[in-house]
Amino acid sequence: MTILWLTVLLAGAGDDAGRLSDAIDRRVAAVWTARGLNPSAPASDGAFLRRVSLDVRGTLPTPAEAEAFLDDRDPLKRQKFLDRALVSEESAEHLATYFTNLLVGRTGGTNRFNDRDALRRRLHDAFAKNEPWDALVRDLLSAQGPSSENGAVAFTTRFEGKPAEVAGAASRVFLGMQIQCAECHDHPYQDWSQRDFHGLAAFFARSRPRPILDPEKKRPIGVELRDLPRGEHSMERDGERTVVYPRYRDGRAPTAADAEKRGRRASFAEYVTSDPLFPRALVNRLWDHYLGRGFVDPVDDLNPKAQAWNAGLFDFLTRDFAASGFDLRRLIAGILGSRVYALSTRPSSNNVGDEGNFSRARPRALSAEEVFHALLRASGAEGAMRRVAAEADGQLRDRYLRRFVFLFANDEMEEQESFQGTIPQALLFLNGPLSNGAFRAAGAIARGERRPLGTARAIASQKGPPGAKVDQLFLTVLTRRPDPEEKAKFTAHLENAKDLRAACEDALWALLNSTEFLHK
Amino acid sequence: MSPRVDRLTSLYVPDPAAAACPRCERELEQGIARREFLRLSLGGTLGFLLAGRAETLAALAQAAAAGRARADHLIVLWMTGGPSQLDTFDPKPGVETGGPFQAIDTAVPGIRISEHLPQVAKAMRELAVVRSMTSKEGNHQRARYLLHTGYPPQGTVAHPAFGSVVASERGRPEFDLPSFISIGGPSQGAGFLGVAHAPYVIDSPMRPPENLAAPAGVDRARADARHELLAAVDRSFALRGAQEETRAHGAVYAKAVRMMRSPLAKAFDLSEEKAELRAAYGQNTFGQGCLLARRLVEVGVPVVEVNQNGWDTHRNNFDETKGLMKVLDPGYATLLADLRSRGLLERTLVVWMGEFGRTPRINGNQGRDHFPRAWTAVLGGGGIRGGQVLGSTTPDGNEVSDRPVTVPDLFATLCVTLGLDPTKENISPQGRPIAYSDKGKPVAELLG
Repeated sequence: MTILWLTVLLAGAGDDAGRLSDAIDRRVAAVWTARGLNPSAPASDGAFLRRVSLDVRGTLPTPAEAEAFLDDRDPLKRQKFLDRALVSEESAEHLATYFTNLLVGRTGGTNRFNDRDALRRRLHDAFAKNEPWDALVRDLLSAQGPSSENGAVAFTTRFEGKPAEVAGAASRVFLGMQIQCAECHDHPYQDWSQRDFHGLAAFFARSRPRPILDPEKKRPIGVELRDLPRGEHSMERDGERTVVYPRYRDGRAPTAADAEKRGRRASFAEYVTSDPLFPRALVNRLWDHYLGRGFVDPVDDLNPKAQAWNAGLFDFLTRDFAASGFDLRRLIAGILGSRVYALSTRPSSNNVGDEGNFSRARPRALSAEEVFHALLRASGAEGAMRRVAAEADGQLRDRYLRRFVFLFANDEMEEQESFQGTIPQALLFLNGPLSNGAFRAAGAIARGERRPLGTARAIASQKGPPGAKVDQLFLTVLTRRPDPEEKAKFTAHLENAKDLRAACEDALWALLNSTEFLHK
Repeated sequence: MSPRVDRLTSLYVPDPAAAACPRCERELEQGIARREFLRLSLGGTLGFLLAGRAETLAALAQAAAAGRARADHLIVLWMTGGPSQLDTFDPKPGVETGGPFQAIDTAVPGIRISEHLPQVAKAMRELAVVRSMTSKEGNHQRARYLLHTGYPPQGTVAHPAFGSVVASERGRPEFDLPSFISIGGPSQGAGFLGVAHAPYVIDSPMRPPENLAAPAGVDRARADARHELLAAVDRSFALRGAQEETRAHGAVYAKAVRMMRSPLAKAFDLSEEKAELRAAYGQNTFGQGCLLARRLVEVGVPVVEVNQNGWDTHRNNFDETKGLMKVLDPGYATLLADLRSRGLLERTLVVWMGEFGRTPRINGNQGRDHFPRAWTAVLGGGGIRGGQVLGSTTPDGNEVSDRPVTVPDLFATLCVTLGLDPTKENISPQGRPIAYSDKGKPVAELLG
């Protein structure tokens, strides 16, 4: 095991992100030593592959990929897989989904002032070419024009031109600070006055979103954002309305000439991206996202007085991120390439109670989108869904996704710390179409196919003994091979069955309904 | 008017395109409260000064001494969007802001309500109309939170819905159905009480709940075999450091399977009811939702919420509310009568309300806007002294003129009628005690 780790570390050490991973491992291990914690063993190959695939690509590995990876003797296979995954199309798409949800929510605002899809495309392009985070955020905060030309406007338009709401969201997402309460009164715990808050809001007082309607003027097909030359923000206090001029939280304010030349929002974008909290907020959020808990928890409670876990590492990563030119991919590669990220969930001799020091991996619940994509892939409905979407009903997939979002997610994108199952979720998996092969049949009929596809059917019809089929089912759904007890039980079920396909459906159902399927 | 239901997925999903009012739809759509900080209302502060634990206990004792059967069930008729008090239960015909509707007599001399609620008028002996509700939240999302939890939204605490609190008190672990069921709308989550007490949402009372039936070809023996395989996989995962996750997952699954297999699940099947009774409730989502509520209460569900959508009448308020009342009136009145005839009304508290009322001022679109300052809620059934009006508003409807009742007071009253101590506390994950009512004082006049 030690040898494996050395090779993995050495493999990463040649490049920048590898050095970042090493630094993370050193600084986290120092905490373990100080607290006398024995870290868990490295995750198994299968667990690692599944975790990276879901975290980076947003879906499960294919069964073929899983099999090849498990049997691959290359000591550098983990690093190689991670490196490939990070530059994949799916990676850009999965990050775009995550940040779109964060920026405009899963519903995206009202219909008329919403071009959620344009924002997602803009983010996809940004992540595909690894656009620096500060440049991207500057654009999100200052872009103008129609969403068809630049989807970045959809962050601001989502709030329908309500300055206080844009300022509150920008502060929460980009600086990790919840300041919205100061809209109505001074902040109860932090040094935020109502005037400070409205000073931020005033940067957005001149932004006017406008829906772009289709030729019949019925349906919105996009939105447009323009900055007007004048217009002031006002706040209400003790029944009085007073005009408030833009002022950033450190006192900076645009001059009249600034505002004239480039608009107030451009100044705001510059102040935010040069704020010391700006890199910290992103580092904290990504650490939380990939490891289950932020340095500061909750992630949007990043006030200057907040106590951070391992402040040294937090500062180091923050400095590194800023110094790298806000290189997102490098930061993600650094975190995901670390030994800390790749630990097993299985406790060591003494870390079963460790919640906060990352000495073992916490099983993290999949996001709504991850559950959706994993379920499509594991059940074998993915191909059919793609074809149906391409042919006839392009909305089918979106409708299924909406249903998952409704069942598995909250709109505010709070990270789930543990499984929070509900009865409707359980019923969907117990009796719903995707875990029972019904979708497959429906999709096949819709396409006029004679032979329906699907995982259970495909595996049942393969040659080979029941034991091999069981291995295949486990690889498909859980990216691992069964342990001896599982193997014995599942094999017996297949061997004793009168109808092999029905038995394979039962096995698939059990795997899709397992707790493990919903975790990474 | 139509419920926002995604037909294909047969699941309650708000449909942004169906919303009429651009100002409100975003707030409605977001549903679940955002994290924002405490905003102490003046009412809450006053309530704190006035209410003592002793008084509350006295009210409880008084209720007990009166020999009154406390209510075991709570049905909330939730008027999504905020119903207009002036056009329903606090009519002011003839005044400038009163609108075109006339008032009619009810079964209780002296109490008059809108002409478009004739059946409810006949049931007035069961009802206590509180015309002096007052609150401070005029935004749908925040007010929904306030009127479901009894607390204004705060960043640091996810308050449980009051329904979840009642479910946690009245729900029995061995009961086959969820203890809190919401029909036609999402209600409010269980907050820090956890998903075990969350509302089980049914999108339409006319269809069986989604995925409740076992798939075709899976009989009991096959299902048991499947569960055995599943148990082996979960044991393996638990051994790899996921005890907590598998335990939580297993608990939810056990509950879901019990519900699937329970004879009580028949309660969801309205076809067992006589056609005349179904027609009396009204052949629409709200009416049939009221009927389903009665069936659920009958089999022992402690809390049911029935949603009627469409009350956010910024435009054409009078046409809209008239249409809404045409649905509300038979549903509400038949529910009361049906509960009464089955001996359930004494044990069932029925609350009619929305997140706020609507402005007396009629806007340029013949609409009324959000108005939390002076509005109406109606209580009836178990534990309530019916046949009365409590409080009043000024002739123009702009202010409460008598006996203001705050939201915490309302929730304290609900607690007492349900036999709960409003000062009892849940402890939030941050260790903060959260009382069942936010320092409210039970309204003694309302208690039967």
